Amino acid sequence: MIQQLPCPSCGAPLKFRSQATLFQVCSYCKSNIIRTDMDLAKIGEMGELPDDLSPIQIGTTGRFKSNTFYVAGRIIYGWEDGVWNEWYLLFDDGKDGWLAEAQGEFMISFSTDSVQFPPKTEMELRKKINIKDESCTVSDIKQIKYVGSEGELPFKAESNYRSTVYDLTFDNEDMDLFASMEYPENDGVPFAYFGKYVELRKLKLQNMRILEGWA
Amino acid sequence: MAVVKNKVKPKTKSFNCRNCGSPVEIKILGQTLNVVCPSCKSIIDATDPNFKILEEGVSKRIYAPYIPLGTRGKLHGVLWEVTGFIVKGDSGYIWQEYLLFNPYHGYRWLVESDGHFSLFKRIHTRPKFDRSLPAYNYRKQKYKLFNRGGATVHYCEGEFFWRIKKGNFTRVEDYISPPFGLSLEDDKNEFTWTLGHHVERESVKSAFELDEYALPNSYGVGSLQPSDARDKLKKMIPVVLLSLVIMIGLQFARIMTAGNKLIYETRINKSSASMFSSGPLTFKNFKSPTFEVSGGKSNLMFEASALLRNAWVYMDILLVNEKTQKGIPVPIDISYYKGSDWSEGSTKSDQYIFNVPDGKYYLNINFREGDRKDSYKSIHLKIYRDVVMYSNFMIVSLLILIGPLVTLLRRKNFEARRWKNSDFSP
Repeated sequence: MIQQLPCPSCGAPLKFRSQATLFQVCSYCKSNIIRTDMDLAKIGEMGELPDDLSPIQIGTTGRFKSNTFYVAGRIIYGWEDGVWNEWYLLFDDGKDGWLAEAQGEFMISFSTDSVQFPPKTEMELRKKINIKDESCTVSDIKQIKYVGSEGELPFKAESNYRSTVYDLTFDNEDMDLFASMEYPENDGVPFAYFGKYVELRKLKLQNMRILEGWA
Repeated sequence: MAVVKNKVKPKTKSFNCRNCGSPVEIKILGQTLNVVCPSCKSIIDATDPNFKILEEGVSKRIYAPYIPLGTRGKLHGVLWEVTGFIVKGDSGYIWQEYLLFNPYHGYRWLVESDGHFSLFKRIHTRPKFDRSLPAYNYRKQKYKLFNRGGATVHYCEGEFFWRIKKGNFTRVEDYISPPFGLSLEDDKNEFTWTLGHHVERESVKSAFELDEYALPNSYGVGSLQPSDARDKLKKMIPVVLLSLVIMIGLQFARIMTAGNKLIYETRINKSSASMFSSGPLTFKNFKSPTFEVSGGKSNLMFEASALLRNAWVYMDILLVNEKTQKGIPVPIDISYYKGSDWSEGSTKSDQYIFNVPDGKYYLNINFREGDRKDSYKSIHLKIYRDVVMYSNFMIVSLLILIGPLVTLLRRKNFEARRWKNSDFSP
C-alpha cells in the first residue's frame, strides 16, 4: 500500500511504496528523509548525482521470473575503478531486491542468509564459498564507498559508508548465477546477495530512461 | 503510477588535454575510466577531476582504424557505436579490436584478424576444462584449443571502461567451435572469459556503411569462419538419405514384383563337320524351337556358359519375333584364359535386352570360335524374363553420393586450412 506524506523540508508529497522503505531523497528539494515509527525527519541533503548513460530510472518497471518489479530507488557506489548503480526493486509479491548495473552488465539479486561468512581475514581471491548450496569462488575484491542516492531505500544511506565487496564466480555454468558478499568497515555485520546476470531485453522493461539517439 | 516520458539528451564531458591542449570528450559517463586524446593519443584518467595524463602519447598515428571511432551501425538488430579501438599483437602477429557500446546492451568487442571478423561478449561463468583434447565445455558445446599465447596492447584510441596501458601483456587462450569461440584473458588479477561468433565481413561493411575498400580483404580461413561446405553437408544429408531410402525402396519393390522367370533353356552341342569327317567338333548354325515370352513388356537376360579354357566363342544370336519376323541382335562372348597364377574372363557371360514385348520368339545363332575349340563340347544357354537389375541402382546411388562426398572433401580441406594457423591442429 502506497503511503503519501509531505516532505518535512519543502512539503512536496513523498511516496512510500513499501513498508520496507526507511529512507528517501525528496525529488524536489533533495533532502534526505528518514522515516521513523512516528514521522519523517530530514537528516541532510543530497548533492548532484553524477551523470551517466543508464537506461534505468526511478519508475522503470519490469518482470523477473514471475514477478513484476518497480524501480523505487538507487544508490551509487564508487570504487577504485569507477562507479556503479544499485537500483532498489520493489516486487509485487512484497519482496525487495537490487538491480546492479556495472560496466554495461546487469544483475538482479536478493539478500540471502544461506551462506557462512568466513572471517574477513580469510576472504581472498579464489576463496571457496558455498552460497545457496552452489559452490563458487571469490573472483574480485573491491573497496567501495557511498557516492549518492535517489528515491526510496530500505535503509538509511550513510554518506561516509565504506565496505569491502567480494564478487563470486559460480562453478555452475548454466544459470548465469551472480552473488556478492559485503563486509562493512569497522567490523560491521557482513551480508550477501544472491541472484543472476540478466539481459535487459528479457526483463520486459517499461518506462525506461529514453536516451536521445539511442532509443 | 507516474509515467516518466522525458527524453534525456545524453550528457558528455569535455576538457582540454593536459598534454597537448586539444579538446577531449567523454561520451560514456559513469563507465569510462580511460580516454585517449584524439589529437596526441595520450591516455587520460577519465575519473580524475584534473584528467591526469596516465601515458603521454605521440601525435603521430601509428594505426588507423578501419571503422572510425563514433561510427554507428546495426549488427544483428542492435545499434552499436564504435567507442574504442585497440591494436594488439603477439610475436609479430597483429589484430584489431573495436569496443562497441550501446547503453541498453552494454559492451561488445568486434575483433578483426586477417580480415575476418568476430563479435565477443563477456560471460560470467567459467567453462569446464576437458583435459583430453585440450578443450573447454560451455553450455553443451565443446571448444577446442586453437591458440595459446599473449596479447600486448600496441595502440589504442577512444574510451575504455577499464584501465588500458600500452605495452600491457595479457595471457590469451582461444578455443573454437566454429562459428563460435571462447576466449580467455588472464592479466594475473582477473580471468576474463568472452564468448564470440564469426561475423561476415560483408555484414560489418554494410552495418557500419563502410566504403568498398574500407575493410581489408580476408586472408585464409578465419578461426571461427563457418565452413559453407559444412552447412551444405548438413542440408544435403537429409535429402541424400531420403533419396537413398527411396532408391532402396524402389529396388526392393522391384525385387518383390520381378518375374525372374526362366522361359527357355537349351544345351547346344558341337558336332562333327560332316558324318565322315574325324576333324575337330564345331558348332553349327542353331535354330531354336519357338518359345513364349509373356508377363508384359520387360527385359530379357541371356545367360550363356561353356566349360572352355584358354579359348573364346562368340555367339551371334538373333532373337526373332515369329509374327513380325523382326530380329533383335543379342551378341554374347564367352572367353576364359587361365595361367598358373592368373586368369582372365569367365566361363559364363550374360547379356540384357530391354523392352521386349510379349509374343512368340525363336533364336537364330551363328557361332565363331577361336583356337583350342576342342577344350569344350557344348554351350548352356538360358533366357530369363523380367530380371531385377542392380547396375542402375548402383549407378544412381553413386550419383546421389557424389555431391556429399565432394562436399566432405571440400570441408576437410577447409578445416585443414583453418587449423594451419594453429599450433594445436588435431
